[in-house]
Amino acid sequence: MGTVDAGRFDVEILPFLSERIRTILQNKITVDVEEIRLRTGKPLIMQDSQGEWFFNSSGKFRRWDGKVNDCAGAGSDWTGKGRRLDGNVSDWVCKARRWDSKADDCAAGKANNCDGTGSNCDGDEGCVIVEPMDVAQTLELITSNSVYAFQEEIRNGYITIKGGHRVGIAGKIVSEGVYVKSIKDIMSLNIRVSKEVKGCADKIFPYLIKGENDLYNTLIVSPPQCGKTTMLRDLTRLLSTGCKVNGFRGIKVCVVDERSEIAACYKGVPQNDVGVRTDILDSCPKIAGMIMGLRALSPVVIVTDEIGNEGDKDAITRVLNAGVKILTTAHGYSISELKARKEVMELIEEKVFERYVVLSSRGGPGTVEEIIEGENFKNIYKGEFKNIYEGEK
Amino acid sequence: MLVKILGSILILASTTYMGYKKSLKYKRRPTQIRELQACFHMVENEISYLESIITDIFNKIAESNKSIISDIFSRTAEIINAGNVTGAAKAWETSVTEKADTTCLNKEDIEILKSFGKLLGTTDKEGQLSNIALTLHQLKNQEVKAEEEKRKNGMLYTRLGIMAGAAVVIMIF
Repeated sequence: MGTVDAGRFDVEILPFLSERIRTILQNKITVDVEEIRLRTGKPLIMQDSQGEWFFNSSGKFRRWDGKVNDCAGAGSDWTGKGRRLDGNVSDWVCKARRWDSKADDCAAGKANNCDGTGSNCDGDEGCVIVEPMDVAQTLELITSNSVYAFQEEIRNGYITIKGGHRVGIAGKIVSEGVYVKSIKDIMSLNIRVSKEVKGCADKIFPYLIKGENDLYNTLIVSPPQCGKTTMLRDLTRLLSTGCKVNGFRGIKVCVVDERSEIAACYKGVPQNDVGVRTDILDSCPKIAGMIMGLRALSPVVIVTDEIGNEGDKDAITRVLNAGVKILTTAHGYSISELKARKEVMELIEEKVFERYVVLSSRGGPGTVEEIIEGENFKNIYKGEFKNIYEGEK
Repeated sequence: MLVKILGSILILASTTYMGYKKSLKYKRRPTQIRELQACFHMVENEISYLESIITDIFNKIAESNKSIISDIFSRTAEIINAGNVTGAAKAWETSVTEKADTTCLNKEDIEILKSFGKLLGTTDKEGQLSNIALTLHQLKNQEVKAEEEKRKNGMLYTRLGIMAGAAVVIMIF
């Protein structure tokens, strides 16, 4: 877990890439791939937990260790490891290689002088550059040739594909006032590989439940990229399915998944395990969803991501007034920082939340810093900075 | 003499058949245009209320009524899914070209279908809907014309077939 095995990648991501890129990437994906970036006119980049990878036309690729500038000056020697994705590490020494952060420079292959012998590195012709056609084709495949069906997603800047992976879009925004109508001239696509880390919430789960079928209103506080949604998803699964170890029976859960991140639905089918008693309102506006769920689905708890916008407070108050619990998240580094935000501050001051879980990435994404009890703000759990992904690596 | 009689019967039968075939084209065309319109109405509904993706819509159409016309839609979905051509527009055009001869539609109708495909899937909802509306409008006009032609030419070709056959037979004798 926490990784995508190559087989899954072949089925879930590769078919959505343009034919050319597909051929390049075939069988060359590392297991812990995090992102694939397609920027028109720029090199194709894959990122995994170790850093960025570039590709060349012979299909091999190498890592720059993020030290692109180090080899900029002619005559400066440096040793780079050209690692193949199949895990074989082929070392090669590259001397006097110019980079200049200009991908085109290495495209000619003329500036590359390996071992001073005049032969090119790996016999390459430089990096694979993403062409406009690649972006267009990839977009076509992602939207199943039906752009109209993804209007709302495009407006929000991303599309969720099967498997829960998300494709971010950048280009020229067509707007009307503050409202984004569409994105045209799409230049960049960022494919973020979704990670479901089952069991990452096991540790904190006992602190959030009350007896065998109730829980505390909980707010997960975390900076971006710290596993907030991953944690929320796993908590949802535990709440819904139940957890024998903690003697928790499982309760009815309604997930308002505004950004299709929690359950990552594809055609309505959740791509992540969110439990057996879970109803999902996929890509539903948060406020409308909370009210809808409340009326129609009789949940015990409503789960939603990233509160803090106008109107969220009222919706949450309505949920609580109906005797339904709430489990949600907010961007922030600590509770004191959260208080600076009006909507959240009011909720904190009214002691709406009974438990706060503070995350960080000190020990990797998903580090639980502390759990705070909401009545007197007393610390009830101090994390030992354990990385949730650690178990898998 | 017997050979002559047999021969003339054969000639008469075949020309009559030819005439009949030709008239069938006229007779069936309005029906097929109406079918097309029904299919496009379905596409319209699917897009405006459900925002389903093209392949889903086209497969649904093919499921709900199997006919020469709905074959165009299912074939398009097939081509898209096969992934050999890129773009729904290309897939649609290929499918229409392939299926054109199996239908009773004339050149004009086929042109309308092809021009519908050019915007298929590439614009937002409003764009798709207005494209469908335009196609429906054009098909409506074609239907009126087709009815007219059916009335005029339908019987004409059946009769012409018989007449031509009869003329040849008379010349033989």
